Amino acid sequence: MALLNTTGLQGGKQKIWAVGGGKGGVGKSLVTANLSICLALMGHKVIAIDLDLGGANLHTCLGVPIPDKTLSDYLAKRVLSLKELTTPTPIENLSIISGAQDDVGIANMKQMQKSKLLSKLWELDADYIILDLGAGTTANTLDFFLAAHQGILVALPEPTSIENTYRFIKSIYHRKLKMVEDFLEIGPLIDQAMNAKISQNYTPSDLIRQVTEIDQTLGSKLKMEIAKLTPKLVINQVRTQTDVDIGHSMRIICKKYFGMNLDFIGYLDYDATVWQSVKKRRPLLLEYPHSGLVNKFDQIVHRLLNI
Amino acid sequence: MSKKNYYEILEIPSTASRDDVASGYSQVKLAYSPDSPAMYSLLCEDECRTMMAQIEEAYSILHDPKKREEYNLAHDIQNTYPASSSDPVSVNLRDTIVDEARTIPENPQVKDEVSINRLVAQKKFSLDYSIDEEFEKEIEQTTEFSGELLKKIREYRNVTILRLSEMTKISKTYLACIEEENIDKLPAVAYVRGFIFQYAKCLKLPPDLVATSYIYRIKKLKEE
Repeated sequence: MALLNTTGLQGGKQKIWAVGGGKGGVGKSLVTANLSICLALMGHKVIAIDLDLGGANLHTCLGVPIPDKTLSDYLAKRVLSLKELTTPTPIENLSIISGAQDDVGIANMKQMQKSKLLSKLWELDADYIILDLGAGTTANTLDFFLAAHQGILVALPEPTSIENTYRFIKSIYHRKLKMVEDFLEIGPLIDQAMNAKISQNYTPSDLIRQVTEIDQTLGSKLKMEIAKLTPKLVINQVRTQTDVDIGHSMRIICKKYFGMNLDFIGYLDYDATVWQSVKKRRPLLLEYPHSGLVNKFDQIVHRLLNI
Repeated sequence: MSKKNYYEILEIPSTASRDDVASGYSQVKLAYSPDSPAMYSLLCEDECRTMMAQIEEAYSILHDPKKREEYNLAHDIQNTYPASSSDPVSVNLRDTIVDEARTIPENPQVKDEVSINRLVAQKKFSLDYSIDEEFEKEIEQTTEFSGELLKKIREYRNVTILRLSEMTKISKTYLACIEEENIDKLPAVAYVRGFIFQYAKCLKLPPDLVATSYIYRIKKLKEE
């Protein structure tokens, strides 16, 4: 754990965005691909990395055939530099590093490999590095999400996805606290808060309050660490206004429950053309430049860039 | 846990327009409604019910411009109402208190601040009036405090509505309504009880007794 800087990666000019979400099939790769394209079209140098090491398919969303060299080659030391893995895409300024295709066990990347990978990202020549994370809440996924400058969560407006999104937020919250618990010395309280059943009515934001009561400096330190967690939320496959409202509701509930600012940055309409473009294995933004979704992606990128 | 104010409950700034109030209301209401998918798996029903009650209460006040203004006044929320800073009544009290405060300091740096705070507090809440033995006795023996009597005591103890409003942080309108026993304009009984409690405390009356008897009167008036 000591190898992972709790304040995220530092150093180079690259900005790292991580796209995650608890559930599979919510559109993480689609969002990653199209955000990458948007950034590339704006003139930024972008590298999209498929970290869904168990079920990589970002290349499909970007309309690239399965690349020869993938992350498994790097992790197995068949390739020595990350740079060798970058494959150009049909879009100028955008390249991709593909996830593993062969070795399924690679999803359980070792701590050392993960740290190495994170530290080597700085060698890549890019303005933006977009990480497409796998489903689930494995330690690897959480650490990449936490290490990124910007964490983006994709969810569908349906209970299963919402539940998994919360599960994911809870997990990064827990992992974040675990990273700082040594200097905060609040281990037992953390476990109590995280393992509380819903009926016990003991929320993570109660934890902060409780720690503050015991020790004010500690409490404000903890609060500061949590304040650094400001994941962005994108709701995908929206069909009605009610679905959009779910995004706002999740923001409100998250604030109440976790004391965390979940920023609802936009939604994507349910659109049959998405599936057609995936079927044709062509990026949506290029195949259907007049789709309403293009606008939505544009807005989301602007929100993320704060412009 | 400090209670959130109505603006915080609706997650809007205190400068929010009426439309903002309405949209804030519908957003938080949606989030906590029993069939909200967004609270699923995180919050329990009890908690949501509590929040819903608070949300409804907040909206019922804030969407009504008049009630909102009164709420702002009562809670010292600035922006529509610049609080007056001068306090003519208590200025002449300074001399008597300074001596009292001066006997405390030991560590000048810290204690000075403490004594200044205390001095300000004492100045803010001290009463200056000429004692009327007979009326004092009457007050002492009273067990039923009507609005009219409260007003009489307030005037006797030389406190203007404006100053009482600053002492209690209750709006002048509500204070006047309390004295006039204007039950239609007063908020829910639970609030009035709190108001009376403050009112009595600032006039150095027994707060519990005054509040209980006043609320009893109000309830009876409401039944009529």
